[in-house]
Amino acid sequence: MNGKAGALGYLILRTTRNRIAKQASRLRNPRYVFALLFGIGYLYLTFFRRAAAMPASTGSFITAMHGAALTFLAFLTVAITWLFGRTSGALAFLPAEVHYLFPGPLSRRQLLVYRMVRSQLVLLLNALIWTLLLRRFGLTLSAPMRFFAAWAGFSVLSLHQLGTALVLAPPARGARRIAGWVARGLAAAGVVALLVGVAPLYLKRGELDITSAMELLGQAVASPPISTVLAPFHLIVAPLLATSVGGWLAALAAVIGIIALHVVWILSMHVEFADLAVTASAKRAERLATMRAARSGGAIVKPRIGKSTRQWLPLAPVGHPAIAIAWKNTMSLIRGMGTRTIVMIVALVVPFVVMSRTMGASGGGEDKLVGVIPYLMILAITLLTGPRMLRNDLRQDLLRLSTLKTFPMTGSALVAGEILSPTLVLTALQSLVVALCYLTVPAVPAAMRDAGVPMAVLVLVPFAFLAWNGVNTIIQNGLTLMFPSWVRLGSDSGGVEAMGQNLLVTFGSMFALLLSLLLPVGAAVAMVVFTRLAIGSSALAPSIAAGTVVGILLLLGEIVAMVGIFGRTFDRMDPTSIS
Amino acid sequence: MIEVSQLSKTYGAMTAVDALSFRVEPGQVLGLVGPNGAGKTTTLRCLCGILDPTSGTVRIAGHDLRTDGPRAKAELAFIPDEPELFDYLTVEEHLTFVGRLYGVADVAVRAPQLLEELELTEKRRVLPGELSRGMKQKLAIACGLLHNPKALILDEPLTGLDPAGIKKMKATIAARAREGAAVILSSHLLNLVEELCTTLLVIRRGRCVALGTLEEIVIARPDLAGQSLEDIFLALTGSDGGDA
Repeated sequence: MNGKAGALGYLILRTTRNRIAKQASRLRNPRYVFALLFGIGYLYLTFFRRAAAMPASTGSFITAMHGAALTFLAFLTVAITWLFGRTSGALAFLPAEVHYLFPGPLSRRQLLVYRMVRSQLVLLLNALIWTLLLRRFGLTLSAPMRFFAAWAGFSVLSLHQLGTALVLAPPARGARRIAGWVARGLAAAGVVALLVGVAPLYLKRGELDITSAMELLGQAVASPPISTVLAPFHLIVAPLLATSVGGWLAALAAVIGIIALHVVWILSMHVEFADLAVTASAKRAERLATMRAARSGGAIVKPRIGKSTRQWLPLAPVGHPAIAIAWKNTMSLIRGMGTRTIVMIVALVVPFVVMSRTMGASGGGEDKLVGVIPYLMILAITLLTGPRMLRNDLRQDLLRLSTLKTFPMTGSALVAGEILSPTLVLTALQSLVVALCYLTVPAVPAAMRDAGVPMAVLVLVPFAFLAWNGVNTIIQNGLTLMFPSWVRLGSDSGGVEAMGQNLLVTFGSMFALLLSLLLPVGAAVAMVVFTRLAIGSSALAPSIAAGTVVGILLLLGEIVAMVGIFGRTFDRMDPTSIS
Repeated sequence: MIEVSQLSKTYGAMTAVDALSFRVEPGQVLGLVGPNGAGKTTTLRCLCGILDPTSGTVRIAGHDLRTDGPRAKAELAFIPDEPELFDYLTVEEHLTFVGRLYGVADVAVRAPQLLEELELTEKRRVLPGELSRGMKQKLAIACGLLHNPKALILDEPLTGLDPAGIKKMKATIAARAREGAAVILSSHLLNLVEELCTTLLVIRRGRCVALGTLEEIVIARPDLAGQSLEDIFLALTGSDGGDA
């Protein structure tokens, strides 16, 4: 037993040590140091400085409210776990653990103990983060006291999830099955009791401001039936709410008692969990792979096994190979999104159209133009963030640089093919929004007529979108090619420095976009002024059209130039540069 | 034909490939062997344009890989040991895509033939995530063979294949060579090398230690006469297995 425990302890300690050492070794590279400092600065300004700036809590009401909220969250976590079987992979092991430990000479109990001990690493890290975040909430608690209080609370919830996973593990028979249903019944009853308690608050919602609503919520939580339901969960968060060292010690002792009970509960269950653990481990590995793919620019939704793989777009067998790249990326986008995502997008657009019509109908005269606001919002979002979000280009493909390098095409052709898909998809989407706006907001054609703007001007709109999206997309791809180590491409490391890297890349791409817009916008404005002077001040539309054409042409010229530059960068690129 | 002249690849102070020169004529199958870390994969990656050589030239069917990359690559197929597939393209879409890349006009005819040959017809509409390791390898092979390459480079091509797949793969490699393709095959399976290869290139620490037919190698090293290929390999590369 000692030998096996020693081996498992060695595994935990060595992997933890090596992981930390690996993260730390990255700091030998100034790039990571810079990114780490940037990330820490961002976190400080976003969270800690804001927390420090909050007024110190002075009364029992604030503490009670925080207590109520924490208690409620603890209850919700447990209720969801039981009602929906959401055990968050409590029984998930790493693939290597499944490979070596499950066939190894270890008992079921030893595996569970190992799982519980290993989960402590995550719990301790969470406790540390919350110790910092909660520093202003429990005035009388020192940092170590907050740390232990948070650790104890997290430990109970984590162990409860593990216990729940074992109770609900199929096939549930006999007493375990009954226990599962009883627990589910209690959770459901608790939810009903909460709803009954909070219902009066909802009925009065029209008369309440936020403060009085919170007061009422606090009262509701403190009185039956909610207080009765939440009493056990209040115990879990009680150490965080303690106002004296004595109170904290007593509350912590109670929670440690609950932890001990959970450990006994878990180890006393005789459940064959190997199948469940292997399934949970596979799901966890899949989830991580999907997250990494999404972080690296891959499609956010993983390929759905067994679902329809109908070929939506035909591809002619001969023609420019760049079109094949664009086709592949568009297929990837369609498959990645899936029908559900498309339905969701439609479901989001319909309310916008309805909102637009409502706003337009409620306005009078020129106010009817307010109906365009929802469309402008969609346009603004897609123009600014679309090329950053739609990453079915080199940001997805660069992980397969070795394969790309074998393709019989120049780097420029490949880069052109890569940016084509997101550029065209975004342009089509934005043009559709403009068409919808024109067709559903009657004030728009009327306003155009009044201003003497011919409908033909609308023809320029898709070209303008095309040029804008093209420039924006090639900048994103160019940054990926020029600084592949700065753009996340599926590396499995995370952390503050990764966040710093992402922020720096975002700022870098915004700066590059501004730079690339200088000349086209300047020339377009000059053209408008020139044609106004040449033609006279009566007609604005021709001047704007001429300026737009100049701007579009210059942007397209910039795209061509950048495709050439980044194509050569691609040709010189070495797969080993991607790390 | 594949012509390699004074090919070198260095990473800082480390030389992975050191002045390799050889030719593979149409119909020849060159076996590239060497211990782990000898520089085989780096050599292959330089030959197919994945890595830029530090110095030296590579010509594929007469086209210089550095100055005329697209034309050289159009005559080449590289089948890696670890199949790289696109997650969101089905099996038949992979062939459609590759066909367009290489301008295979009769892809609609050739793709079903290849799928049938490699027993992938039933899986033609599934994504790579649903394929076994061996099937993925077969798909990578199908993609490589689709455009009838004049130069075929294979890195451990039998990895993951079942016995029937191995038999078929061996027959395919031999058939391609008979049809006039220049083939380079890298493998640790010495019986496969012995069975298929017409010439051998043995490298150690990035350098050529032997090049020629088995008979030519034995003539150059009479002390190896009568020994098995395994023993010849160990003698040429050092019994420690190499550490380059």
